[in-house]
Order: sequence, then structure tokens, then C-alpha cells
Amino acid sequence: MAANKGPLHQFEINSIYDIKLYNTDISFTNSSLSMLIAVSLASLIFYIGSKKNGSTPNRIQILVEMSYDFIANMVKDNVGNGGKPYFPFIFTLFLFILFGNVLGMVPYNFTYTSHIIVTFGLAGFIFLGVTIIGIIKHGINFLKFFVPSGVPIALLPILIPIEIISYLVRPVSLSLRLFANMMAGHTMLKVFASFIVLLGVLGGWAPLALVVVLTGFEIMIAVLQAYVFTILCCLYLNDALNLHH
Amino acid sequence: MKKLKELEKKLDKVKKSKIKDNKYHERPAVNYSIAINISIELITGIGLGVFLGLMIDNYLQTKPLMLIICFILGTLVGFFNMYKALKRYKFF
Repeated sequence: MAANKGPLHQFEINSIYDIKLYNTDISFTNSSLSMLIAVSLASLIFYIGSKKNGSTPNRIQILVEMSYDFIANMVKDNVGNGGKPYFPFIFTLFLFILFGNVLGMVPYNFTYTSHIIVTFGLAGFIFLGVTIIGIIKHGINFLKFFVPSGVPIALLPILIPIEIISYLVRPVSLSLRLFANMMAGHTMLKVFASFIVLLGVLGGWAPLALVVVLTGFEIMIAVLQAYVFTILCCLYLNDALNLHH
Repeated sequence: MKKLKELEKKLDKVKKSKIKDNKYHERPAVNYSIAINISIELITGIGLGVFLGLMIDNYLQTKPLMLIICFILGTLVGFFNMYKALKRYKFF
């Protein structure tokens, strides 16, 4: 039964509970369910980890404190002291993407980061927020961001449009990077897994070994992409706050 | 003394080979992820250039002009971003 469904079948969105607001479909789907699972699991782990401040921390408390330190150091190194007010947002973003990616590796669970609308929603809001922060912080001086310093004036008519396009390209490449990595990895896993079924007991061992290796790589990519998304968010925030080119 | 010098030479060799190994491992082992990341930098630049060109053309009624200009600018941005990504992965 499962074999004749294509490798892209896992990305299909099914409605679990139909909700209609006027003419808009806001049903509770399997994507929403896995988001809910990820958010509640993250909240539960962090609640248990920060509940009692023992002098000898247990495993969950160490996990919570390590991930807190990791992001706090990332914000401090990449944004500086001005980035402290934005730490909660960046930490939440990191956990949301990390849990989405890693829980997506659990069989039968849906990977919500493999849908471009989810990642583009995150990246688009980050882009808008960072631009607004930059404009509030620097006013009209924010436009200096698009003028590279130390360049002859004759080159500016070419370089300013290039700078503007390369600024506008940020949310697109940020969202596409996470989406393409998750989607390609999961599709490849499914394709190689279908080879096991096709080759049977005799020849199926080679793709099985490959699938085991690829699963390990996929978990690594899941963590790496969450890290990359977060650090790029930090770098964009740094550009808006400190405005040096 | 001779033996000591020989030993030092051997140690240098081992150290150099270890450094080479480390440099090789600086790239993450997941090569298809690198390929995706690098090609995305190029594609998004060109794609956004074409999209912006079409939108501006639609708005200003200058049918092919802005599309051509924005396509060229987008390609420049795409290649520049790809160069930066390749540098990040230490291909340059």
C-alpha cells in the first residue's frame, strides 16, 4: 500500500479538523498538529529544566542551560550588547526550527519546515522586523546601508541597485535554504527506502545501509540548518543595529 | 643528536599531515547540502531579478527594458552571493 505512493506523498497536507472563517480555510491540519507537538514539547522540556534550581543539575537542566548559553553566546558574539532585547525572539526561533527539523525525522511525523510557506513566513517576518528596527534606530541614515563606502562615484549607479537586490534577496534565500535542505533530504530518504522494497530480501541490504547513513546525515543537517537560520538572523539584525558596511 | 633530529623531522611530518586532515574536515561531510546551498544563492539572485523586472515593467509599461536590466543585475547579485558562499565553504 505504502509503496505505490510517491516520495512526495509525505509532504501532503491533510485537514484533521475543518474550520472555516467566512470564506477562508483555517483548518487544523497535520502541519498544525506537528507544530503544536513541537511547541508543547519544547515548553515542557524548558519548564521541567528550569523548575527547580538544584546545585547539582540533572540532565534536563544541563540540556536547557547549555542551549540557553549557546544562543546567548551567539547573540553576544554576532550582534553585541545591543542584541540583548532580541534574545528571546532568536531563542524561540531557534527552538521552533530545531524541534521542527528533528521531530520531522521521527517516522509518521510531519516536517513542517519542509513547506516553503512556513519558512518564508518566518524569514519574511524577520526581514520586515529587521528593516523596521533599522529604520527606527537610524532614521534616514538607514539608506546609507545601500551605499558601499570607498567606491568611486561613477560606479554608484550600478552598485546601488545591486546592493538593493542583494538586500531583497535575503528573505528568499533564507527561506529557500531551510526548505530545500529539509525537502531534499526527506525525498531522498524516501526514494532510497523504496529501493529496499523493490530489491527485496536479496539486494535490499545495500540501500538499507545507505538509508542508515543518510538518516544520520539528515539529523546532522536538521541541527545544522536550524543553526544556520539562527546565525543568519543574528547577522541581519547586526547589520540593522550597527550599520557598518 | 642525529637521532633527535630525525625524530623531529618525523614529528613535523606527522604534524603537517594532521593539519591537512583537519583542513579537509573543515567542510561538513554532507555534500548534497553544500550543493543545495550554493545553487540556491545563484537561483534566488536571478529569480528575484526577473521577478522585480517583470513587476517594474508591469507598473511602468516599459515592457522588455527593466526585465533585461534587472535580469543582468540579478545575475550579478547571484554570482556575487555564490562567490561568498563558496568562500564560506573554503573552496577559494
